[in-house]
Amino acid sequence: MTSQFWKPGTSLLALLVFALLLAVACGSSETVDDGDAPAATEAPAAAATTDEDDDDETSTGAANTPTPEPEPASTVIAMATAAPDPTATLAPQVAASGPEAAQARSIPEAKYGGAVDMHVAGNVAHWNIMECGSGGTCMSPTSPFSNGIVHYNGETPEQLDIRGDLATGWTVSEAGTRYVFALPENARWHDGEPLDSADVVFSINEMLRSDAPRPRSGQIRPYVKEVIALGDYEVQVDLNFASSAFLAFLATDFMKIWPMHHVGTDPDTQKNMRLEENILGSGPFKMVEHQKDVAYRWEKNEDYFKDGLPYLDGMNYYIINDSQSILGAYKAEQVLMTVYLNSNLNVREGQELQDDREGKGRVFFAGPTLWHGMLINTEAEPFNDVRVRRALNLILHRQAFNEIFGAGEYLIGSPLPPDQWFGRTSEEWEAWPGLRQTDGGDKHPDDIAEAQRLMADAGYPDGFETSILAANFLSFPDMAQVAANQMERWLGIKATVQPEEPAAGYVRYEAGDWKLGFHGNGILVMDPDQLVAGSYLGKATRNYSGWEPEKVRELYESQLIETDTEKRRELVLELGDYMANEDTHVVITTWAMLVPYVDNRIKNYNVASGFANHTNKEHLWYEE
Amino acid sequence: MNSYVVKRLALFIPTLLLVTIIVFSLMRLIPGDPAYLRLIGADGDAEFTPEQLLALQEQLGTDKPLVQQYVFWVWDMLRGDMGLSMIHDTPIINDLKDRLPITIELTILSLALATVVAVPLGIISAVMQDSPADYVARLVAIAGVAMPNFWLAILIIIVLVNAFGWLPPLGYEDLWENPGKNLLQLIFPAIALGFYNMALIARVTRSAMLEVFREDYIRTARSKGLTERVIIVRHALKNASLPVLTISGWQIGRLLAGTVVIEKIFLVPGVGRLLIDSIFARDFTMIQAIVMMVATMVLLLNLVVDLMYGWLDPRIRFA
Repeated sequence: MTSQFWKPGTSLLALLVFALLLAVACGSSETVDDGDAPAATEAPAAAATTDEDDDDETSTGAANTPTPEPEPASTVIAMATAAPDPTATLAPQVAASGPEAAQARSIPEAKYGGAVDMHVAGNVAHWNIMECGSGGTCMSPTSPFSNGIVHYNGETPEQLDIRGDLATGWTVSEAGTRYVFALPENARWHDGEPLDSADVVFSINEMLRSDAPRPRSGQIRPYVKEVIALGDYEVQVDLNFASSAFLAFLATDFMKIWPMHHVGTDPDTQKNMRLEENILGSGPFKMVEHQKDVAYRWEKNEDYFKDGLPYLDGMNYYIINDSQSILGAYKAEQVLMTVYLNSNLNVREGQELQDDREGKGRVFFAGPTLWHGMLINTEAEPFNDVRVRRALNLILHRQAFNEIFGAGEYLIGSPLPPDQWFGRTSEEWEAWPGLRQTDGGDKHPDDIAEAQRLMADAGYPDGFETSILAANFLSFPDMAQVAANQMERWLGIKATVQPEEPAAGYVRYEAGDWKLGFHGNGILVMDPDQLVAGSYLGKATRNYSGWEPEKVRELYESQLIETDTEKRRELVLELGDYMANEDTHVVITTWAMLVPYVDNRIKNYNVASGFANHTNKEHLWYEE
Repeated sequence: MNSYVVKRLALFIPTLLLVTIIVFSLMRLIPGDPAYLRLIGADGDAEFTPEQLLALQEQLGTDKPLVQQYVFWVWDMLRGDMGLSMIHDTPIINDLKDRLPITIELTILSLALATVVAVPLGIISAVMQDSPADYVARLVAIAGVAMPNFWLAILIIIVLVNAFGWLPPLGYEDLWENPGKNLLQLIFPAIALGFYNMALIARVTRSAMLEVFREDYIRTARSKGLTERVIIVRHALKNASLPVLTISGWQIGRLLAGTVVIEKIFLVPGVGRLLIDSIFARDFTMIQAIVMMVATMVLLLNLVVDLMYGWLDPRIRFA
């Protein structure tokens, strides 16, 4: 499974030739070997799984397992998976049931066969999904050989539809604080060992560990109180409070189940799961080769526990980072799809690809998946004055950022993403003070006047000199320059853009060695819990100055435990309005999109709502 | 000659030591703690605790005093132990064994291509001085010197895709297992990498040939009635080849440096690509090992060139 580049004679001979270079060698030429197109065959008669979930009641504990504490009012309802209303999907008390809650099953019209070449924009950093914080460098390469308990349904355009991955079904108590997941009895690890509830309990406890890095998998920590096995094939998860976001997090492809027998339960003697030699999964594909910096090659897991899946015989993930090389590979049909949402192409490159591949493939502008915005060091003068912060919030011309950097495809930079069930619409935000513009597309004069008044009140009628730190990726230095121009034009603030290599930038942010910054933040789950905790609370990733007004904390905690969807929405709206009108530590300029590409020969593809969804590829097939 | 060789060898060791100090110091001067970067993730948004940071710093050895880190590193290198990658936890030597032959092959191919094109171009340019052919050859040479290789690389990709709907095959095939596919994969990066060298060698060849053409022995050869082909190949080119040979040798260092960008653009899994990825990941141990390896190779090549030059030209070894 390791790289096969090196042969003992190769390097010795190459070194020898290298030493003789001064004599100036000559080249040679050979013939062409072409890649072969994947061949698809008709699917056999539909082999639907027979694992129907037991929706009616929670199973009781089996021998040798801890007896769960009874929960009051434990009327059990089933979790919906295909509700058309996104508000309902994320609400904890949805009462729908049916076989949709079960795992994926084969589809009669599907074709089997073919090894599809795909593109991924990132070499693997390590193989430890528990320690994984990034889509390209560890999540996407671990996903095809792994399973979670639940995952987002890749077979439907309904982006927030969650269904069982390992789980054949699950129940939720009426109070919304107890989940019981049923597991299949036929699931096996790739080494042939059975996968059971002990593995699931072990893995969730691994996610909860606070003594080891858990950048993404640890995001279920606030919710989970306890996890116990109710037998070999049933797991009970008790939550600290009712929250639909728990399931939304659990369904992302960062929350994978580990083989307990293989990893080991003692943290001191556990296998180093960062190493390739230690990977072991249960998923639809097995990795058969990894050429570092070149490709991963996957083969179908013939013993996969989901009957009839996967459809593809194999996949080849080619690692391509440079945007021109990526465009070239798509145009020349060397790769047929992006492995996950991030293709490393920007919107304009996506539009170029769309024009080129018209009728042959589809480019998606998927999201919003991250925000771009100007960070404010609220501890540093003069930005410790709320009037200055409000002036900045009023003065940045969001639509201009969208035109320049998103070719008009991005969403307006409201404090919380527009057009979600918990927030305002784009139209509402487009009319909001600070975010609005004139009919002619200019910055609204009332906002300029108000910002100037605030600056004058704060003692800076003619502006001041400052700097904008910008990590040198995703066009942040260019965005910072646009912000600097706007601030100087309307407020007289002279800001020097300070581009930094990302690592150096992070160090400066952490050290407080900055005034303004331009950065972005990815969204794992489109839920207020993630959005507020991940962007606005004192310990949020990009909240480097620890800004956290009491009001924000109160509203956040209220919505966290609010089980009534409408009331929760009201609380989140109030949060967004506060940050738009009163105070913020970040002026979000755009909600950005990722730009994945999919060839028309790839079937059953639906664009994911987040970068960590739909990545195990068990549901895709290839058809000419 | 012996004392000349001893002097050059004596200079080699302190130079190498100086390189170790520079490499080590530079890595520590660049902001960015590898433990911090490993924890914060590629997107810079992962969460971790200060305790986890300290534990990882201890594990990676970056919590120790710099002098101690340096001594340990040099001592390990002397014993042939390059250590583990700070990011991947894998032995560095394995990565280098995988990738070095690829970069060397690319370097050789680009130098070979450059030389094969440049020498005839330089000769034609010199022989047909101030003719249209000379102007064309000079134009190509000037363009080659002026054009950044990464730009040429992107241009090649755009032309191949838009004009032919084709690109070199993805993946990497070993030279000895599938030489045809291997050559297809490396020929275009070699062209992009070697274009500058081609231009430089062509210019040097032209200058050297023109200089030689003015020598008395060429005039003598002509007066003897030798054919122009014999004069050029046997008398002029042979004498003009010394500076060309020297330039070619010295350019290897430049070619190795150029692989960093070219390998990235053309998806060649060589040392250059590994180096740039390691720099972005702050993989100190990997960067140090690669830079030391390349520096040692360049120093060795320079040593060989110097020794050969001294052997070919007595004026140098007696200077």
